Amino acid sequence: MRMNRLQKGMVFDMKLFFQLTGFELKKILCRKRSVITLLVVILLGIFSVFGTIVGNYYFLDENGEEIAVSRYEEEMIDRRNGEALSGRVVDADLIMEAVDAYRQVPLDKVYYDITPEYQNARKYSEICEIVCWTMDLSIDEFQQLTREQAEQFDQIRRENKEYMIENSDINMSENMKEYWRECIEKSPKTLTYEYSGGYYRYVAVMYTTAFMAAAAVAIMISGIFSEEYVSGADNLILSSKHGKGLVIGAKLLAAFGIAEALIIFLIAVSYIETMAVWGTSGADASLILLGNIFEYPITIGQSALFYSICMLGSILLFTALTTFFSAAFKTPFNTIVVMAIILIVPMFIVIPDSAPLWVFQLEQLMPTHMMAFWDAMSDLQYEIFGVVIPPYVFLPVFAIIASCVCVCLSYRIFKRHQVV
Amino acid sequence: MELKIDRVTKKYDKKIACDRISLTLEKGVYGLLGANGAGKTTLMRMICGILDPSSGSLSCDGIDVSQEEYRELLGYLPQDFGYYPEFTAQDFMLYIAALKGIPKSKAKVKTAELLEMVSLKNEAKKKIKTFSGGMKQRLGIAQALLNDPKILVLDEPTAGLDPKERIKFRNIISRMGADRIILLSTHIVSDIEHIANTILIMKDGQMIHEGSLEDIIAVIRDKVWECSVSCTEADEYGEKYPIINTRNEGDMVFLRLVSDEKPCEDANNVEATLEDLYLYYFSGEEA
Repeated sequence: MRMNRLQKGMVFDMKLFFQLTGFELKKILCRKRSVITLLVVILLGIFSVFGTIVGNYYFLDENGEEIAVSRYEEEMIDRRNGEALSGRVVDADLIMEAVDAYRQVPLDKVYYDITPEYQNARKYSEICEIVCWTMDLSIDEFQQLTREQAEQFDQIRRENKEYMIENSDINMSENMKEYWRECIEKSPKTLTYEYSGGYYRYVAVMYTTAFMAAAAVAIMISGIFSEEYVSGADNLILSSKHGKGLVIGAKLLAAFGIAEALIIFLIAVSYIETMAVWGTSGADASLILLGNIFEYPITIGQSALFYSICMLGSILLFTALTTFFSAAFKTPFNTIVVMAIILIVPMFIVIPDSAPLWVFQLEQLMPTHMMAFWDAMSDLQYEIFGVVIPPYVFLPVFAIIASCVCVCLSYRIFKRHQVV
Repeated sequence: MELKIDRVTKKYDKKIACDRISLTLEKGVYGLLGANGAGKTTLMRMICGILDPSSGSLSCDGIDVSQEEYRELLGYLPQDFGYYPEFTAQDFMLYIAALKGIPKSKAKVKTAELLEMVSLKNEAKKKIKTFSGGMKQRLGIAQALLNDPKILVLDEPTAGLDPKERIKFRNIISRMGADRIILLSTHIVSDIEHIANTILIMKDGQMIHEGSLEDIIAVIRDKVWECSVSCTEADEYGEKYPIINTRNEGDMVFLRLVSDEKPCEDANNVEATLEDLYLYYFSGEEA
């Protein structure tokens, strides 16, 4: 009997909690600034993927006649070329095929990229890029590459990795270096090319999209607590039965719910759009093909998943910070200003190479960095009790822990708010 | 039921808003009078648990005002209450009902009942941003009554109401005071005069008087005078005595004033009212 009553009470409280959450969502979504921001960000999120396929591309045919194709067609040509090469090992044969094609390109011409020779060679453009980047070659030097040099590709790749470990800009601990050595040992000795245009576009477009989502969160959530102070509704809320408990939880749930729903929607839309246009191939390929310096033992598909989790973490942390400042400040405007600083300023901070490791790590923990693919997959790792944790695992875990702290502080600040 | 306020003090940097106030409130209507800055709102906020006292304690039947159990008993209409412009009156009431822990089905019935009581039934589905000041105030009154509170704190409840609504509301409060504690603050002295069983007067953060209307007025009994004097004399009297009322009557000026002694030969001693007392205490202060 007692249990039944208790269960009934709990069900009632949950009902009430979700009812309050509904009201809090309504408060956020009823504000004009929220509606406008949400619409702008959703529209930009939907159309930003198509930014690179809008317009035309011009090149010359064999007879010197100008041919115009749409950017979309151009991308599709690259996709077909890439898919044709997929599955081939980047060995001396493939490299020399690329070199032979590039040797025909008249680099002395200013607009060599519109020549028919370049159009013929561009099917190897990604191979050229990987080789040049790995062997530190210019495009002229690539044209002069010999078979003997091409055969050293895998060896140079390995040496580069080992060199990077010993001469990294950051002061890696011995454990971190050991971690990398293990990664090198685990990684395949040869590199297999896979077309991964969809994933490449996805990680490229998502940084801007996540940045916009964060800005939208700051605008929409900034008033979650401080708007109550400004309007004077804090009087009514804090003097009510659930004003110092349940409703704070409802406010936080509404804030996190709306922020995470927004980023999940944008991630889903961007993923679907990029995969629809550029294809889903390359999910099992090496991370190196996305231009990553370090080869974590994960595939491109896994890295996209981890990166998406990092973005969720980044928005989670950003929302938590917004709720904290909203509770601490007396007006939403102050919160928006501080959140804009937190979002924008880290992009312009240049940390000198001589700085200790923790400074770089601290910088990476800022939401702005957390939402960048190159930060999520960077060589900057974290070591806790001798265990080395890659950033794409550490960043979301940190975001969850830091968000919990912010949530507790927000809760406490609003609960103890004094109506003066 | 007993609301006990024990040596409550609220200090800001250099100002003492409430100074060692001790009160015991039982069922009935309490009218709180005082000029602006006297500390009425501060005291009410402390009673509602939204402002912590610097020292002293407030509790109801042993339950501290900071407890959820206490807030369950409370209904509060603040002086300037916040509302959500895009919410309808009904949404707002349902939101406050949820805050008070009232189940949705009961909240709907209570909302309809209270909106009818404050003559907002036809405006239930209208957005609050379209409401006049008086309508918002009536909505504020309705929300304070949602949980059928045992302690009702009303800060300037009749501000913005037209005379008809004010009287209607006054009567409701009077009826409700039979089985709960109602603390009411207003500048409209006649409201308190009509409904308060006990009158509390605050000045400079201190409770200077507490008692029934008769007890309170006793302070100035036989000290209120009415007389007609020349303009020159009126100016002189204005500097000497607290003037409660002044009116031009041809060449003469009619005065109602407070004085321990008969101010002039023609002066008539009249019955003192609460308004006389209020003006006697606060005539030199900001209204």
